[in-house]
Amino acid sequence: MASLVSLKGKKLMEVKLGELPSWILMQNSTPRGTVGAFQRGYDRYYNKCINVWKGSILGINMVLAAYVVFSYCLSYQELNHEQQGKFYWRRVSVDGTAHLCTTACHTPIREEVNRGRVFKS
Amino acid sequence: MNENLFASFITPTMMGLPVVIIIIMLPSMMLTSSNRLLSNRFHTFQQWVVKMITKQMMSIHSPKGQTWCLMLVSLIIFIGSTNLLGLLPHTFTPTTQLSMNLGMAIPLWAGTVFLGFRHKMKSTLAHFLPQGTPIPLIPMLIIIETISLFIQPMALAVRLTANITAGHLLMHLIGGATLVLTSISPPTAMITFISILVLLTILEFAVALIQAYVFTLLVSLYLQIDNT
Repeated sequence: MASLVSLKGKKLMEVKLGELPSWILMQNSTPRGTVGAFQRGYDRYYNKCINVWKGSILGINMVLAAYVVFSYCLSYQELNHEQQGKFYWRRVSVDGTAHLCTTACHTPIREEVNRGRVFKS
Repeated sequence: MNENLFASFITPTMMGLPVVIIIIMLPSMMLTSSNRLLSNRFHTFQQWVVKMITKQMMSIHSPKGQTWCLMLVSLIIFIGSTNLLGLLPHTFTPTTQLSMNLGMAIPLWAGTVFLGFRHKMKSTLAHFLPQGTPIPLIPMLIIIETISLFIQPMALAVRLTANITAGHLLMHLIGGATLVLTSISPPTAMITFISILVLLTILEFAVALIQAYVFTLLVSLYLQIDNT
């Protein structure tokens, strides 16, 4: 109980990884509170790395590197499938109008088609 | 390989939520504001860029046209920064989507046309017939000029989309070919990498900035034509 009380007052960098979900839930989850949290984080980074006397390009490069890592995480699944040489079907709706489907010449997919489980547009 | 070539142009979502909104807002989040006369290096550089763009783009306009300064300078900075961010590995470029470029081109073009009709009706209508046209050609030329007027927003949007998409596709293709060549013949791969891929990347950086400039310049020209 004492740890829960003290958890709320802690800053993000002081919170342990295991306590992170409970710390996030304890924070002010109103829109104003969430925006305030992002604003404080942005101001802290800006004042530490960019708004300094004779700042280097490292400040903005760290942001760009984080953006690249974030984009990589978003496209990880596609890259994984590409590397494994997999081709996969996207979900097809019942009325036959299909979302984007990739073709495959592999036997397992042909079996699925023959069994009539997958509809190709 | 063929399907995966276009995988980088799919609008990114995360658990059903459109992350593309954050990606579109990212250039604006990177730009800073300051109320000081002397600020940090990043803001000083940004001010220098904005000043250069303003001088270059708005000097041709009348005072009435210069009221569009904020719109045009924001436009070129947005398109330029979005294109440049799209050159980073694995990132999504919003300007490869025709929907977004049409969303920028059509309202801007329509604004210039409507302003022209509102303030200078005769002058705007006179643009449909070039001076010195032979009389038999007049009906056909008016039709052609009308069609060319309506083609303008389409051309604006498709030009930007095609240029950026084509550049990204070329980089994907040549990068993939270079990678395959590395296991077959490393000297050929090295030559391909240095002579083609590096030069292409430099070209893409230039194209990113040039396309932003061309888009904004054409919008400002449409404004100048219809409002002077």
